[in-house]
Amino acid sequence: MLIEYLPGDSLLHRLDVRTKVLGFLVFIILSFLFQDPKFQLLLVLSTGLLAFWIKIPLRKIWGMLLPLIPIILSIILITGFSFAPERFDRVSSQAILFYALPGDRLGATLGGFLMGTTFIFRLFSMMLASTVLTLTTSIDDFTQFFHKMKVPVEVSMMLTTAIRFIPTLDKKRRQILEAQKARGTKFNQKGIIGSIRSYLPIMVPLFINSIMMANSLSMAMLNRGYGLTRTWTSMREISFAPRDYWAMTFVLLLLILGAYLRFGLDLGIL
Amino acid sequence: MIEIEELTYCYPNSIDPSLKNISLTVEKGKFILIMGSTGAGKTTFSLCLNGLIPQLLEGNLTGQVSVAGKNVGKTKVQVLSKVLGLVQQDPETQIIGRTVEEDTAFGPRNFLIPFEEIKQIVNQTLEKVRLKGYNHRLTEELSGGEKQRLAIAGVLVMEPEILVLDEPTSELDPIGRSEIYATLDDLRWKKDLTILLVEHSIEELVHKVDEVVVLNQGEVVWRGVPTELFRNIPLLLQWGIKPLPVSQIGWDFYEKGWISFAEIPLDIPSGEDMIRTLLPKYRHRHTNTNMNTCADTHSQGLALGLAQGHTPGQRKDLISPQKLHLPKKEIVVQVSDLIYQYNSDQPVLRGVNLTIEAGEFVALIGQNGAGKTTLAKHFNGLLKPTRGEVIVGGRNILQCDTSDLSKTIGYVFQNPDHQIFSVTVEKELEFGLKNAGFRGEEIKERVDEVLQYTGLDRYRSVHPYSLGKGERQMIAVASILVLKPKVLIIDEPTTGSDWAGVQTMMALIRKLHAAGTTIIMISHDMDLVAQYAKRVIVIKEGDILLEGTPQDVFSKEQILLDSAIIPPQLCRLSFRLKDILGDVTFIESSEFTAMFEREKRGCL
Amino acid sequence: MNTMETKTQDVKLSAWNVKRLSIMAIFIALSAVGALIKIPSPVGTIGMDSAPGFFSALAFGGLTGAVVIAFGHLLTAAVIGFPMTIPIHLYIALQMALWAIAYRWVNEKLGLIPAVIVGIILNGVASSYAMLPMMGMGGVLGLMPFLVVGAALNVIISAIAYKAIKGSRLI
Ligand SMILES: Nc1ncnc2c1ncn2[C@@H]1O[C@H](COP(=O)(O)OP(=O)(O)OP(=O)(O)O)[C@@H](O)[C@H]1O
Ligand SMILES: Nc1ncnc2c1ncn2[C@@H]1O[C@H](COP(=O)(O)OP(=O)(O)OP(=O)(O)O)[C@@H](O)[C@H]1O
Ligand SMILES: [Mg+2]
Ligand SMILES: [Mg+2]
Repeated sequence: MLIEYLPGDSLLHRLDVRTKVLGFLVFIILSFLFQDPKFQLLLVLSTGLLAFWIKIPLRKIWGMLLPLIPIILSIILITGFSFAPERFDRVSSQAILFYALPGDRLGATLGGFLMGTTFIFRLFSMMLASTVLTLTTSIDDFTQFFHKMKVPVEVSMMLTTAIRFIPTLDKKRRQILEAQKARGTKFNQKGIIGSIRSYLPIMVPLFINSIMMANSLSMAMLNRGYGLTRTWTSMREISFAPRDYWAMTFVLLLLILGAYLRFGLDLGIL
Repeated sequence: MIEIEELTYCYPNSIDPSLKNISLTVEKGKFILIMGSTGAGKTTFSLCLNGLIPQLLEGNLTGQVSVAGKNVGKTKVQVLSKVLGLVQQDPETQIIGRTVEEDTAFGPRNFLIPFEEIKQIVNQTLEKVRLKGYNHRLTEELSGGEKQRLAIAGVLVMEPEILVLDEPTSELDPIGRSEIYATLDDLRWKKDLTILLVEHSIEELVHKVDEVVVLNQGEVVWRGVPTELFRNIPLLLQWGIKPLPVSQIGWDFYEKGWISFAEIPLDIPSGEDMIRTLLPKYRHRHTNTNMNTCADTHSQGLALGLAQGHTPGQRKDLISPQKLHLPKKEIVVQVSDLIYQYNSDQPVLRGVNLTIEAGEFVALIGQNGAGKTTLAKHFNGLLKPTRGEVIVGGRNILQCDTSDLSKTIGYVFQNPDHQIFSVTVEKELEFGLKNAGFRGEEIKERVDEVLQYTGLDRYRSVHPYSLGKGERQMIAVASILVLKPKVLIIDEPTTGSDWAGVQTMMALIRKLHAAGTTIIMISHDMDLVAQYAKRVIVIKEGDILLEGTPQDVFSKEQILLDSAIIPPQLCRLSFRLKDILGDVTFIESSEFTAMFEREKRGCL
Repeated sequence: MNTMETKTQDVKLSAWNVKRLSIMAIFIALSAVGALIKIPSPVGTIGMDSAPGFFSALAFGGLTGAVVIAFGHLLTAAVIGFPMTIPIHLYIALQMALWAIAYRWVNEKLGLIPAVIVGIILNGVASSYAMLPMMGMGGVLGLMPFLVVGAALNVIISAIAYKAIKGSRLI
């Protein structure tokens, strides 16, 4: 139940975190550069390829997509109707497909629908890219990354400690749930008030236990010398390998190519 | 090494000081045991030693504490940690790293010790606490005992000269506990460590420690060699410390003038010797089993102010109690071929078969991770069988909800803080009743009744979290009792309580049992099990290994040892006296004293 | 070892800061765990992921609350694999931090009930509008009911829990 890491030995796993983060940033810039769904589709496909390469379980992707379906639908519909023709540069995009209400009101523009599709593709490809990044990078690597980015030690300490305590608190959550169930708490009360009444007996002990846990954690950390100095011995140094330089060069070339297509050739807008 | 002068400390949000006028010196290389009842100030005291008081917790501190020549108030906790290592009460929150190695390295990393050197000392330390080769295991997946060892390793790795441990074995099975003590003893001799240990039970420690310090209400009330204290039963009772069962027998003889104070035994061999020398002289002529047992009843009555109808003589009958009333008992729990598997690959329960009848007092024992809790959670439907069947009160648990079962099956969990959430004790008790659909007067009546019954009446409108852990434990029990369950499951109800607390809790349970409630108790305290349970079930690796009366079960010493159980001291004493006692196993001190002549006098 | 050397250095992290840090760490972890508590509602299941942050704002101060809620959100998102992409989650985290500070501030100035109302409006309505550039009006309207109900549950539970715990000696 930690942040998931998919152990493996692909190139993506072996690349330095910094390279991967750079690649990720470039990817985001690219995806915001283009409005045309065709270009977005290209990005979706390329991230899909990466995902396929590291063998992401399909079940996982579905798990992430399913809850988003209502939002996806509403995005397509409402964007279609709400983007007025004047907002598009291209004439073709200004075309009105049909009117939702009689008397030529609330027209659905072609560009609107295309824009909606772009939103969705963008969401989807970024989702894949984020997953690929997190799945191929271990927590230790991220900690190292924070360290290299000169994030204050307190912040990276706080985050690693938080991650360490997720399973512990999750166990507490289960224990509390069981204890309250054994007292006959019902979790199916109706309405917002009902939900609050059902879940207070879980949340209050969780808060209380967390406060107590934080108190003894702070004692334990001081006890073991934490905070004596602002740095500490690193257990592992990350370093760039030749493959990292190659990968970075490739990523930057992609960025330049993207910028040229968009601004030089004026492609990819609606 | 440690010098304390006139230490007085008061927590910021309380009026009375938690430590009063403590003056104490500890020399290098000593092993000191700190004892005292709940709330005596043991934890507070240990926090003063490493500077967490007053540096982290504010409040009012007067007096001087110096450790290895450093003034504790003026030296940073972090610096002191190189000299004095503190292992706290709860191992769970002391483990900071994700893997065993990362956690152990935490301390040295803060001191900027070079990487290579860290690797080396981490490995050495892990070996010392018997966690060699665990380097890359995730800390989250360690067992309770391993966690407790890792907590010790995390402190040891900084190579302190003094080690302070606050109840380091509270949740361990008997073998796990003696392993930790063995580790400590080892370290002490090899490394010349000074050790201060806070602990409630003393059985394994009698011959290991040099000195005992007793705290009571924040004051040092006694200090001296352990043998002096542990022979003095009235003194122990006064401070809420559990006496050794063998010395309780010895005390009885001492009172009769048969032996001197120094002859009161503190371990099994000397107990055996005592009985063997005394028996020819004072043997009781009639083997009257229904002897009244003053000492025992008295001490319980003292803690509780209740009389009890139970006579230990009855227990000695070789016919088990269920057999006597066999025909009319209804079956409350029926488990057949129960297999249960958490998400992982191995099943935790492997085909358990078990029948529990109404009115029984059953104890489930077994080593950490044997599956006791997992089994008991089936009884109220918190877990559903992977295969097999569990019938509770005539209903298959697959078909009913835990919240419905809660009216007949009460389950008290080990940690009261997992369920208390209301702003007053009274409201906490009402909660379960409201869930069960009671209204108005009925609720009030039941709450009143249970508050009286459990002695919580005076805390009625107090915030539960301003009370001590012992009282919160009682609130948790009370909040189940208001539902008047027919079956009560109690999962380690007494861990971390002092002896007086244990007695109060057990007396309450016994009272409920006498009133007809079926009791299912899970415990690592074999003395309690022997004393209270009518039937003992030993679980090992997800199956029932042994089952029977406490006498039967505890007489199988070798089998028990394999499942990390050490029979109670008195049982072990009676094995050694087999040639005299025959096949009978005694489990109460009164049974031993009953073998001897009694003088004409009332209870102690 | 080098005890002498380190002792002469100025100690930067006082005991109090370590305490702050561990409270933050634990409550950030609690946010991720809260996301696993799934409360059914007409608009879908709601997680308790921001309640710990709002609670810390009330109990330990606005800044602590802001840190907890922001990092809590990021960690929660990371656990389920950043469903809405990393940059958007960063953006949401920033907003949440502001809301936590506002929540605390209103509680101090006007009391708990106004704070709850402000909290729900900010986290429910304002947060939805903040998604306009990313999802368009469609996204906003699709999101709003979900966010409002989610905010209501989280904010109200944090407020009641705060009131319940304030009476003990824990905070
Ligand atoms: N944070 C706190 N604020 C106020 N009072 C406290 C606090 N912690 C402990 N106390 C009080 O100080 C006294 C001593 O408590 P302490 O925890 O030291 O006892 P203990 O001997 O360790 O008990 P136990 O055996 O239960 O661990 C108790 O009366 C307790 O109520
Ligand atoms: N929620 C869970 N998920 C996975 N495994 C679990 C879970 N709870 C317990 N286990 C495993 O099941 C086994 C039995 O656990 P259980 O808690 O029943 O032991 P126990 O006999 O009660 O031990 P203890 O005396 O330490 O309380 C252990 O190996 C434990 O690691
Ligand atoms: Mg204590
Ligand atoms: Mg258990």
